Amino acid sequence: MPPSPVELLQGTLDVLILKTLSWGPRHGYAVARWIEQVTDDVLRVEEGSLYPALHRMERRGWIAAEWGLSENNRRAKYYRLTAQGRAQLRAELSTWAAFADAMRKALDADAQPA
Amino acid sequence: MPSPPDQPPARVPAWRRYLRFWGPDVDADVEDELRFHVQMRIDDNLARGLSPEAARAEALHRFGDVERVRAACRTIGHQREGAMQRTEHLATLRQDLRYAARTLRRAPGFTLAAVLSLALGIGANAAIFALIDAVVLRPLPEIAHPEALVEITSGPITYPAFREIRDASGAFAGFAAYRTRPMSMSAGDGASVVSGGIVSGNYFPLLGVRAALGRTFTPDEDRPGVRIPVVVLSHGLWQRAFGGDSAVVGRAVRINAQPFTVIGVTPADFRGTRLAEAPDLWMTINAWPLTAVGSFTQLDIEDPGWGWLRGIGRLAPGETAARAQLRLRDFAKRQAAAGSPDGPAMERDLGDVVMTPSREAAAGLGNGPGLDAFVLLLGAAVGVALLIACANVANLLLARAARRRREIGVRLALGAGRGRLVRQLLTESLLVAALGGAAALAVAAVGGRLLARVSLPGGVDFQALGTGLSARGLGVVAALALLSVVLFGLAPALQASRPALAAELRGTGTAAAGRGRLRDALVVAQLALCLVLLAGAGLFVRSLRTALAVDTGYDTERVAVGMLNLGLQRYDAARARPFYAALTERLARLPGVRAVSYAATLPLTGEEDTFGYVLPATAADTATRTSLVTEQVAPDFFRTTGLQLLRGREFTTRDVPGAPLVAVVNETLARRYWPDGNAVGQRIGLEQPGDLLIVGVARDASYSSLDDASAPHVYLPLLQRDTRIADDVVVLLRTEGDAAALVPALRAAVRALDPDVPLLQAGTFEGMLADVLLPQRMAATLLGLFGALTLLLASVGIYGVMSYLVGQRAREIGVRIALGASRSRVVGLVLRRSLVLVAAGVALGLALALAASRVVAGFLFGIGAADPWAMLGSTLLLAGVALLASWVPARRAAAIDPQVALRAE
Repeated sequence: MPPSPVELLQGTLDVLILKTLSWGPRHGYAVARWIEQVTDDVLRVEEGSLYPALHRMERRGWIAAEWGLSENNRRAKYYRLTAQGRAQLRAELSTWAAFADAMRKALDADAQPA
Repeated sequence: MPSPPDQPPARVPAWRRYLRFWGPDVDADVEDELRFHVQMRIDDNLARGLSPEAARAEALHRFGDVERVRAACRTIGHQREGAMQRTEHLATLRQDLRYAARTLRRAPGFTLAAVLSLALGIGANAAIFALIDAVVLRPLPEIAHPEALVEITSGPITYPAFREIRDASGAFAGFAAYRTRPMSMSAGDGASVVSGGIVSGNYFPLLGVRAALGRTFTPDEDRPGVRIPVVVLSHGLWQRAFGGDSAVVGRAVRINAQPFTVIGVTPADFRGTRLAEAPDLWMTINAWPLTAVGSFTQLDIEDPGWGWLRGIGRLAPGETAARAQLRLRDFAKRQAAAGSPDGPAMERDLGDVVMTPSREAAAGLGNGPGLDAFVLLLGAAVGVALLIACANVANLLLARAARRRREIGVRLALGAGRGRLVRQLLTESLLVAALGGAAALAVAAVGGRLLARVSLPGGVDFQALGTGLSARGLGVVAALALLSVVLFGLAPALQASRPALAAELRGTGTAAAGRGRLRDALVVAQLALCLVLLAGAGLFVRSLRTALAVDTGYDTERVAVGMLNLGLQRYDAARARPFYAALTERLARLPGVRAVSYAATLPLTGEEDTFGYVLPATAADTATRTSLVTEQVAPDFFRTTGLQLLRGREFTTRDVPGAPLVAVVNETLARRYWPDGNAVGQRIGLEQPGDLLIVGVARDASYSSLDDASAPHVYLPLLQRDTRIADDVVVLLRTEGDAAALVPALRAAVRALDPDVPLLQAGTFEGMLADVLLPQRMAATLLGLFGALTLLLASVGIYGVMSYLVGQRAREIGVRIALGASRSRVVGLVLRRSLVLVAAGVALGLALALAASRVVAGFLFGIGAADPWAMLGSTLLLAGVALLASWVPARRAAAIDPQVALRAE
């Protein structure tokens, strides 16, 4: 049985967005869809928090926005990663790796702590 | 988790697209973005096979709280917009400033001229503003509601009359009285002379002044007959004599050698109600007899015939001074009719009472216009100077704009926004204003310090007014600088950026002509204002010369004077007489001294004494007395002052009490009452009919003002008058050499006789007279200074305009010369243009000057406000200088090489 959708914390949403955009410019809907697809629908983005997050990150200069036309000729706002955003992504990735590593070590431990 | 169904993002109406013209439309963008998302979700759902309603419902449900998201995104969007705009503005400003600084550096002549003009104009105004503030705007500091206070200025009132008015007249909400006299105060070591205020018990409460330390008088302390020796100190005296000691309340001091107790200190800025008399301490009317000295020991403050107090009243709310005045007059008449003992005095003093608002009375100088009028004159002069400075700056800015029109035309053609261009030019002007304002502060500081050393008419000490560069002064400076720059920087900036491109690039066009007219108008205005100042200076110089040329009747050169008051040290007449005899003997022995004498007042500088005489023409009616100005003088007075005796003799040391009473009259009086015969040997009456024997007739001389020589005067021997010799006395020394050099010797001689007797004032007769003419002198000097300054500015202005004109018409002039016009014709061409400007300026200036001179007519002595010499002289000066300033560009025009001129452009 697949685990139920997990509520995502804001910080984790940010790094997910950054990772999504590292593949190229996307509009907000595409970001949401990609996250669900890649995680096999385990992580369902609450769309309400996606857009504030996008705007916040735009204000902080991690991503830049541009209006364009979508696949079906609708006016859509596309986001892309800035240099600053790329640096932020690298930093967050290493943090997450360290965090996941530590969690695995703790949860895999057979011996009881002294 | 189900979320409540809510509105999907709406479609943004088309008209909103147009709002993007002014910048990004944050709200519409957010709306679009959210709408897009929901639409995509609906499409996906439809693709998965849901029905349209189900697809829509699922999409909205999944999205969550649209309103919250919308609000959050909008907030973030607006914040971002705001931050971006701010950064952009700052960047633009920095860029503009840097550019402005660079362009100003590249035009040092213009920058220097503009900054200097502003600095001088604004700085002078800021310095004078402090003075205007102290004398005109707030002459009565620390007093509550000064606009409701009025003073009786028709004359002093008696003490009993004061009480009646206060209690029964019903003309005022409150009525107090005051008088100021010099007193000697000793706080322990050594006595000094201070100005003492004698006030009624309700004086401070009436003014609404509360003590800063301790208290002021209670009503109990000013009851008739009760003498309570308490005194209130001024803040200044407290600092000077007591070092600001906070334990001063309760201390004992000696006033005129009488013990008093200090009960309080007034607030720091309080100066009383007369600018010329800022008392150092106050005592009550009933305490004053304890200290009364000299002539006042024999007078009774309850005397119903002796008027000596100044009345000051507070009007009831809604009451006017005119109504109160009427009420007071009626009251006086009623009292007289009712037969009250104060009646006659009241009717005499108050029957024609005149009340003046305290603010005007405060600046009173006696006869003639007051200090406030004088200060306003100064203010007007600096105001005019500022206007001229601004006109200069405007012209400079216009000229600069004209010179840069090609550059600006190119920039406009290349697509520079007009708004941006105007902003940039305005930044340049702002920078000039900032520099000018900063420099103005320096000028104001220096100017303030110079003014502080000057003594104002009426003996008012500038420093005592507490002036200096205050916060208000700084505010004025800032406001003026900003105003001038906005006014005079905006116009050229707007003009310069008008998009008449082709014409700009060619250097011709109507815009240029319009600018030329504006510059011409500015120059005409400058010339006109300059003429006003020069004419004013001319008027005062003429007035001064006329005044100085008046034959006062005295020989004022080489006479040293010193003022004493023995009464302050509690001398009476019996002790004073030998003192002066000894002093006279000492002084006569000093090297170079030809004659020594003394008198009750120094002619032309003091308060006159007026007595009522019974003269032979009215001898039958002994109740009728003629008031005559009287000078009480010691032996040798006429010889010392150089006043000629026409007949008879002057007073000698034999004219003492006990000897026959004598008098000397002047020739006008002698001619009037004894036209055919000799006045010597005749008699007039002072206390008794015919008690004075006339022993001499003197030449007419000015006594209280420069032009009263032809009034009848009487001279009485000071030695025979007990009441005066122990009061204010002026000692005079005639010397062969320099009078000023004798002053230290005079001081030493006085001190040798009694070290406690201070010399109140010492100097030369000429010097003291000069002080009388101080308003004229100051006005002449300052107006002359400003006139010269503005003349310089105006000539720079006209030079600039002429240069510009020559530059403009260089081609035309080149053509003319090439076609054979002589050089002198070309010069004539340019000068003709200049002459038109000068003529217009002179015409306007004369009109303004004639109007303005009517205002200062009160200060002028012996000449009319429209004095032709002053007007003519200033006109010729201005025209001459202006034409000279045009001469240089004219000669340059004549020297134009036609080939160069035609090829240029």
